[in-house]
Amino acid sequence: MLHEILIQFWPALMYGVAGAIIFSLIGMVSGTDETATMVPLTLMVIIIGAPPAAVFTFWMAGAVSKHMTHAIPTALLGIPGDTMATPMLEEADLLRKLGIPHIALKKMISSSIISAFIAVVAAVGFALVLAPFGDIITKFAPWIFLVAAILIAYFSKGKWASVLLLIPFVTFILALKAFNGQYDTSLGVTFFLAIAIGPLIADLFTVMSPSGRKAQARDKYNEVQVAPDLKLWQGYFPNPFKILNKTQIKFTAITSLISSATFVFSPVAMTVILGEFVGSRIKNTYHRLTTVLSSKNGVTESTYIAEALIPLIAFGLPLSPVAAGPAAPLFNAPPVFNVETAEVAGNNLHHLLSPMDFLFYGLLSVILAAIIAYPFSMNYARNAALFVVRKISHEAIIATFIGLILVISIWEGGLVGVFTVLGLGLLGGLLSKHFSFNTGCQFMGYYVAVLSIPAII
Amino acid sequence: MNTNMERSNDHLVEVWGDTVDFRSMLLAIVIGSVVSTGTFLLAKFFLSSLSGDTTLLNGYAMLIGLGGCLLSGFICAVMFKPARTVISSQEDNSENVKAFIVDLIKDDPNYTSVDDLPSEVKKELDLLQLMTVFQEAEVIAKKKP
Repeated sequence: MLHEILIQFWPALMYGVAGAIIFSLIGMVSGTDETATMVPLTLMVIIIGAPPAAVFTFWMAGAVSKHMTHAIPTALLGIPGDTMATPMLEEADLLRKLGIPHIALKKMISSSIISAFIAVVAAVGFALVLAPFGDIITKFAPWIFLVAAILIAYFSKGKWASVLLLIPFVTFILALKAFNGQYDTSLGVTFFLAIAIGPLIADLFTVMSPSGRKAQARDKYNEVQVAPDLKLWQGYFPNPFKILNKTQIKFTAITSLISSATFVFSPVAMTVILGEFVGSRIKNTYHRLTTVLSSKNGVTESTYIAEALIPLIAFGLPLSPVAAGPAAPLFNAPPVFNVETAEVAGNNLHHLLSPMDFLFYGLLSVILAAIIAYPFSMNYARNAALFVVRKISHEAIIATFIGLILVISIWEGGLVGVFTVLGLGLLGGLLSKHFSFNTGCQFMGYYVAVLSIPAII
Repeated sequence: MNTNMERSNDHLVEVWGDTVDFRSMLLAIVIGSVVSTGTFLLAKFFLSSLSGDTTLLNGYAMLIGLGGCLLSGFICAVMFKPARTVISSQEDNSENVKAFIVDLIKDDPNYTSVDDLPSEVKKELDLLQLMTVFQEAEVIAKKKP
């Protein structure tokens, strides 16, 4: 077992460092959705033949790092770094109005580190408890996905509307799959990317028409306020246990454990719910704002870690919103990885790595993020935020993402891929914006179409 | 700050959460599409003449294509300046902050005083020079009806 760990160790370390650096940088650019960025890059690492432990460490170090640096634009500029940062905007805004956004930032990322370590250990523990039931769960997977999709839809803002929207959405996916098949094309990643980028595509189509343009018109540049910084420690590496006070450490630990256990729920929803829980316990405004913010950012880490680790260790099936979305390639990346279906045996990270591997490389990932993303965010946050705001126009970001969806969809399916990504992106984006049928529901809807319907109909 | 002469404020729209100049965005989309797909298709063409596992070679072409995406982003970042103005906060904002805290306190029926906080939190507020601001705000909030 030790021998196995050592053989994969050096590539894993290398890819982990790469993942931490790449996603630390990406996290600082606002609006870089996790799925849209992590799926293609992880897929690339898989396709070029990196060993399983290296793939996992790349993804995990990347996810932990991204959810540290996403705090920078969120706290300092009031613009969410990515999807998981959106529930923290309100508290971040208030702390900015108090003139202390740098404190918000430091607390958020200190909590991240502590929560991430706890979550890796807790997730492996929970997964081992669930693992004996793994075979039963795999057998009933089609039904479980259907129930999970209904639950996730119900707990979204659309409630029963979202649940019912599953029907036309799943039908549409099936129609697209039939269209793909008609031209002998098989698409996977394209679907995930389309769902993740949906809001951009919907916005672009809106703004193409003169009436849409008028509705979205702005009369001045976006005013962005960047507050001054304050260094509260010596040296390069601050101690997270000194940045957070005892109450904050306590709530970080508690929320980390709870969100690790509730691995089937939307990570954004868990962030909101646990934020409310912590907020209800603290009466002073300053103390409440800082504690809620730090706990929430801790939850962004623990949900991603647990929702990837538990399905990976216990089932080998993407039975959580994170596993179905940003971590999808770890489960399903043809031709290298595939999920177990009725016809085909499964072959993905679940089958290639043992629980001890996941624990070891999971902790390695968090350590790498701690070395790379943590001190960088703590020391250079303001300069980095200013650089992004001043030098990287939103036009450039849009250009990059349009290029991304074109390259991926053409790579996977040529013109058929492009038509698929535009159609699904438009529908998904509109459903997200106007029907509260969020991307979590859409990812699960995809799996219902692909796994549940064939087994049930 | 932004001296791009062709830019006026007449064509600004909000897309995907931030402000852009509509015409610049259209051009950026064209550049992004052409440079990214061009790089990818060229890479695929040149790599296909090599022998080897096609999936792997196509994968490398995708890698190069993703590099093309970044390149197109870089080109657009150089060509199109952000439609944002950076406002640095004023130096002494304590009166505004105090007024803001007074409002916060009055809107919050469960508010407890900073004097009742644990000592380590009080030290934090001291370091941030907010302790006295909060205390004064609490006094003002109590007075006003």
